[in-house]
Amino acid sequence: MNKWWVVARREWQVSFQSPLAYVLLGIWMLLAGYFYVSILLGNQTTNLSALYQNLIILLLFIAPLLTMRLLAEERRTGSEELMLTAPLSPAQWVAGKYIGALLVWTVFSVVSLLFPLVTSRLGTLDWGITASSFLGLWLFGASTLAIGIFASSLTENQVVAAMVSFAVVLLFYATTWIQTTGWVSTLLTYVSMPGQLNNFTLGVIGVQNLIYFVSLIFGFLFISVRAVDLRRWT
Amino acid sequence: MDSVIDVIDVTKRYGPSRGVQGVSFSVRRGEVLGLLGPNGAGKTTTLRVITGFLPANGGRVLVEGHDIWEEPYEVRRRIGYLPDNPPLYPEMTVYEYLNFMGQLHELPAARRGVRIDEVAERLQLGDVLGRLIGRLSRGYRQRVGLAQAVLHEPPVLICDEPTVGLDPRQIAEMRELIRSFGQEHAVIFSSHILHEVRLLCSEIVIIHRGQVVTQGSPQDLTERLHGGTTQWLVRAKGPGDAVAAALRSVPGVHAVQEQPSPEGEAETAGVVRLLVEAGSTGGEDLADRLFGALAAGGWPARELRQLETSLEDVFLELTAAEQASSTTVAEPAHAKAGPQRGGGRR
Ligand SMILES: Nc1ncnc2c1ncn2[C@@H]1O[C@H](COP(=O)(O)OP(=O)(O)OP(=O)(O)O)[C@@H](O)[C@H]1O
Ligand SMILES: [Mg+2]
Repeated sequence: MNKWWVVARREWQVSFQSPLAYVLLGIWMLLAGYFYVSILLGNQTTNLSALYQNLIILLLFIAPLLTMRLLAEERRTGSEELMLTAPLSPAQWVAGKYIGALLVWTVFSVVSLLFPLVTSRLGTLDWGITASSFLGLWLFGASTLAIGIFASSLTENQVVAAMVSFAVVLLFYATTWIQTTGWVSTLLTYVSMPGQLNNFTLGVIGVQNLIYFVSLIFGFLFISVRAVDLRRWT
Repeated sequence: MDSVIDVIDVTKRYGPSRGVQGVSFSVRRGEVLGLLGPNGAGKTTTLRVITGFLPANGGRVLVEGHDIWEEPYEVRRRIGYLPDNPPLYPEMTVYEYLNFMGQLHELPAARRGVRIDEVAERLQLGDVLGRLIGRLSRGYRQRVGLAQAVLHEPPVLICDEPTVGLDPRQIAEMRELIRSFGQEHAVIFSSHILHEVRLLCSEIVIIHRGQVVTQGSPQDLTERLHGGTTQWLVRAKGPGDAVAAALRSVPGVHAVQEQPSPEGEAETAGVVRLLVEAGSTGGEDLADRLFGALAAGGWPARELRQLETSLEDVFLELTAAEQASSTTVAEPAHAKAGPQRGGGRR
């Protein structure tokens, strides 16, 4: 059995032993339901892209709470010491932690499929757009978790970890809010998360967009591993 | 090379002055090495370098010939580690936790079950396997920590202050466990209790302010620390001068002096309190001879015991010895004046 999977499974089990996951899941579904009712029934439309945009904003706030614990708590309690002296690499450990959180997030995202399901009962639903929007949402979540685990690797204070990850995710979300021209503008548009999500909400799954999210995830996981490794030297 | 673990000139700096410097020792299978030092001496730091948690600034650590920095994986498989105040996962049950650690240490499923049963039996954890670790008492948590350290049958077992915070019965149990593990593993453990280290170890390394002050077998150290003498406290009912003279004539006794009673304690009327300095050999016999001398004089003995040297005294002696040797030709610095400081425990 792979070591990262051993770690991921423990993480998954522990997540659902604390009330935090249930509280967040409750908030997630409650607010998503509210958005759903207000947007879709109010506008009399079955296009779910507006709902997905709102879920992404909701996720900005929820993802940092899902990841703040991951490495910061291990550092505070010292259990990190037993993990880093066990026969597994820091990369396997961080990967395991990340996958565990990713599984939890997958539960959140799958539960939100309730809304498209309801819509398809009430009227006609474009399943293509829904599927690509869902994928976009899931990838966005996966990226914010990677950013969150990085923030969690920097400190032993969970609150600080949550705030740092919120700030970094928000920055990625808001890069295009500043007026620029030329290559800076091109760069900022490329880095912008909403820009990369546009295609998904239109029903298009672009290779370029996939590459963007996957490299974001691996990039942040990589520097998290480096941070775990390096902080022992200080 | 038959040693299981070799620590060679390890140095770890946290800043310009703190950390540890030039620590070297090796431990064979079936040996227990005690790392002894007061708070802040560098015990935890040394153990963390050995386990590979902290990178050293210099020196090497070899476990069965594998270097901790060149082959970290090979070394980690061979080490069982019980950190100070063992950081376990409070939200898991004991069984889940041991199972998890067993998986990380690559025990196959069947073997894992067998080992968890064995270890639970040996550490008396059978009744709490299904309990959450966070709800366990300190003593049980310490045992869970030890269980996870020995689960994969590592050749090297490293324990950081394993008896701190336990009650006397648990301390005795923990010491017994360490002793028994020492018969099949190479064990390194740290402590700030001289008595405990002397009891369990075949080799002692005394560390102070990050430096190794002295190392050797308990016998070596006793000789070195006391200049080959032991000290005894004798309280008997009788005339001070006569009793002292009688004891002085007992073979093996070097000196006898009257000792004031400790502050706040009034000595019973008619009872003398004497400090006897004697050779370090023949401990029990000497006690018998001292008793004999008292009995022969018809002086009822109220108390007769060997005084232990506390770690504090050891350091006073050691630093005194250092200073003496730097100015004059070294002379064993064992001439201790005045009452025992924190000496024999009652
Ligand atoms: N992470 C750290 N950063 C800076 N200094 C440290 C760090 N850890 C320990 N030290 C310092 O290094 C010295 C040795 O500490 P260490 O924890 O190894 O001592 P110890 O012998 O284990 O003490 P104790 O009996 O209190 O556990 C101390 O002066 C301590 O303040
Ligand atoms: Mg310590």
